[in-house]
Amino acid sequence: MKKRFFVPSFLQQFDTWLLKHKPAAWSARTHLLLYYTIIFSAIITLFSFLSFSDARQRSDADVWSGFTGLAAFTAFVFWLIFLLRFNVFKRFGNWKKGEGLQMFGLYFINVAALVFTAFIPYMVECINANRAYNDYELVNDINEINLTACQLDYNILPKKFKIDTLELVKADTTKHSNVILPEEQVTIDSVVTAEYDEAAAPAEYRVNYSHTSDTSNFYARVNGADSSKKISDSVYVFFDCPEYIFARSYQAEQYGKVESLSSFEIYNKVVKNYKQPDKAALLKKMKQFDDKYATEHPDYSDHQDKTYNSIIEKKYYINEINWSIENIARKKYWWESSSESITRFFWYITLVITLLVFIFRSTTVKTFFLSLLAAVILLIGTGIIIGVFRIYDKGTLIFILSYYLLFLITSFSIKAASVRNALQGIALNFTVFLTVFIPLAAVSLYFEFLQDMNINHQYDYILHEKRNLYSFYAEVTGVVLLLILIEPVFRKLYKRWLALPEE
Amino acid sequence: MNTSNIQEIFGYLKHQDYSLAVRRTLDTSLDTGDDELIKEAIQWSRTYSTRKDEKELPPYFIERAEEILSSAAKQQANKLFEKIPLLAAGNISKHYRKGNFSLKPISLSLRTGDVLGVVGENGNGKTTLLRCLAGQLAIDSGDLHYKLLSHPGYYEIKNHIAFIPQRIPRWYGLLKDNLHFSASIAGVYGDKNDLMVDFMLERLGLSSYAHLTWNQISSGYRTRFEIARILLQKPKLLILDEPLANLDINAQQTILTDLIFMAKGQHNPMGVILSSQQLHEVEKVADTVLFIKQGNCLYSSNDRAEKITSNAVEFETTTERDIVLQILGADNAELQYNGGFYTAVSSSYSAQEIISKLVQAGVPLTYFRDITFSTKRFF
Repeated sequence: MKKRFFVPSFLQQFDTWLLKHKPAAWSARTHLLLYYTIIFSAIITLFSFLSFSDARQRSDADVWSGFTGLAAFTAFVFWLIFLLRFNVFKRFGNWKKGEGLQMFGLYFINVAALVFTAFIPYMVECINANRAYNDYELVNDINEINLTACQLDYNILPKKFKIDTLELVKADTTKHSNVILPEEQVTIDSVVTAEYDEAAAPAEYRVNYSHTSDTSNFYARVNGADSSKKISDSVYVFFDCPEYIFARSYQAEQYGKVESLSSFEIYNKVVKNYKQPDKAALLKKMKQFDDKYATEHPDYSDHQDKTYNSIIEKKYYINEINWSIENIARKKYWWESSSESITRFFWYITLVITLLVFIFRSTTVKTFFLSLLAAVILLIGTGIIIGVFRIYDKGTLIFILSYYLLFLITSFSIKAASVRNALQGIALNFTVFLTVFIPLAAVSLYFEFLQDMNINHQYDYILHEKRNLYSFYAEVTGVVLLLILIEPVFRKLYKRWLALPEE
Repeated sequence: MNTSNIQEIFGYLKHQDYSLAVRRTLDTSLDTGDDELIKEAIQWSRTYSTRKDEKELPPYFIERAEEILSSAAKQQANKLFEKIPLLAAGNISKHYRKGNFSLKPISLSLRTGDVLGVVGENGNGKTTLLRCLAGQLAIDSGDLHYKLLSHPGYYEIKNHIAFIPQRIPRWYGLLKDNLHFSASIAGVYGDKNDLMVDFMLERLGLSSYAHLTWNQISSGYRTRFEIARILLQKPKLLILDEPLANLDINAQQTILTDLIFMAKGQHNPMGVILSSQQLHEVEKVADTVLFIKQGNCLYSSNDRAEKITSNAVEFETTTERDIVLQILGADNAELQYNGGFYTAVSSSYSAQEIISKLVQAGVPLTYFRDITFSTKRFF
């Protein structure tokens, strides 16, 4: 047995054992690939930990992930060319029941391990950020910064509340005389005067008067207003607090364990009953926040902008602090914010590559590449037809399902074939590749038709939710279908097709 | 293997034909199916390999051989080789869609232990016939029955048959790993796998090359390794296309005799079909020889008595053609000269008589061969 580079003796022994007991499993080289991937992952993890120590900096994970992905791709090519040379199936060796499924599983593990390495930099960044900042810290600091800034610069803060008047109207009454309203909800200057809270709004302030026919929108506004006054059942005056939020982070506020303070809450805590603070202590506190978060102080400010926001943000380096906090939060909540897309990306990339490897190992090299060529030609041809006849969503799905049916019938004709035919081999390759996606295509087509039956062409939230749920079921069904068919159908067809004599 | 074969091996030892004795002893040990005895035989063979260049082999070498053979004889006493039908091809033919070549209907049959030689000039259909028999090419007409398989699928047929093409596909990795893999996929696992690989390496004289890679061995050794790999998969029918092409003259003879011994062994009795340009070597070992010309089977050694009506001798001499013809008599023999050899064909004289006449007349002969029943006559 060849002594492989950097392989411990136990793995070498296991390799030998597999060769002499489980040739199919040995030929997949999962044990070696996993071992090398673990070593590679450990190195990447180490480098990532060293490089990503400051969570405040902009993420470099994309670059690292790109590099890791390239290295993983190189390992994949190496695995494909050098390690996957032995093939029990193509040598017409003794093929045990269930080995087709077993091989698919091993290929999946191998590909998954390689694809996984591309996520390591993101994971390390996430771990680093979580170690450096707890789940309460970022939002608490944001709140503290905003409160402190308001205390320090009370004098330049606006105190007047913005006034809006909103009227709930029937849908068909949104058209006012001589005014054509293109939207459901419009805002127009109005002479309608509401009764004001004198403390909140001076008499000369011009009121924005709006109409809406959307009941849910109207009551959402009523419930969410900082302050409101009911004029009638369908007319409300809303009083919106001025903006007192300077430090902010969308990600931190979205996924943090504490709520960030709204301007109205800050108003109640600081502005409403303002007391002269210990400015020296507060300035020291702001300096500490600056030291904690702001990593650099480039001057991007607009010197002409003399608004209170601009003055405060410039004075306490709030933009720099925001930038850092957002960087930290993005890293810290990397998984929470995009777990679904990450999982899908990982799953489908792995699945597609595994299917290609499985097909590559089951068919002849010539037929594999002919299949790729056929796929390109089909894509171009179908794309032209779809484009010319403008049958985008449904058309694409109908084409996929029709092609699949055609490929499936052609694949089953292998059973009656007496010579090996490249067309049948290509059809079988397509059938194997597409099977996992067919239930999803069928469900999508079904919901496309349902959507068409909705004559108002309005967005149907319930239908959308239903579609999402059934699409998920279809995705799972596709995988189950593939796993069920691999051994008794696909492998048998490959077995027969590969062994057929040539013409 | 029976006791007479063992006596034969003792004869080789007695006359110091050690190389042949070692190979036959290994076969004998394999036929017993006794792993311990096979290990002993392998060990004994290794001793020979390391000490064969010495002037005289140590006495224990012979003693050890006697022990192994005696033990084998006890286990083999009641075992007799039985010929079992393997393949029957009835009027199989093949026409390529592209090109003009057609293989005309050919019938043949093969049993375990049989060696069928296919000879003919290049491009006349030898490889086509072999590939048809191996299930690699679809036949246009005729019947092809693999007698040991009932209702076989093509995968089973290809598992049952081993085909070694003239251009052997490249091996990857260590040669020994490839052999272990081949044994494994044939269902030979664990210690037995080790044993069989060691046996095959020793049997074909490849042990010292096992740790090398494909690029590190000559084409002759590649052929040997390919044969070792195929034999580990225990095929019932072994088909070889020009296996002698890359071998030196000694290796050709060794490989052919090894194949015959292995085909007739009890470990895995099999039929062998081979094509070759080495007519005399093939004719020496083949039970049946087919001569194919332009897709037609012109001659089968099975029905030679029906087709051969004259005797023929091939010889080389410096004597002028007219003198030779005068000695043989123009009415009794035809003389052809191809630039290298003379071929004398006669219905009146036997081959021995032709040679006797030439020798008695003082014609200096540097080479002669009776080709009465050889396919050489058809070239």
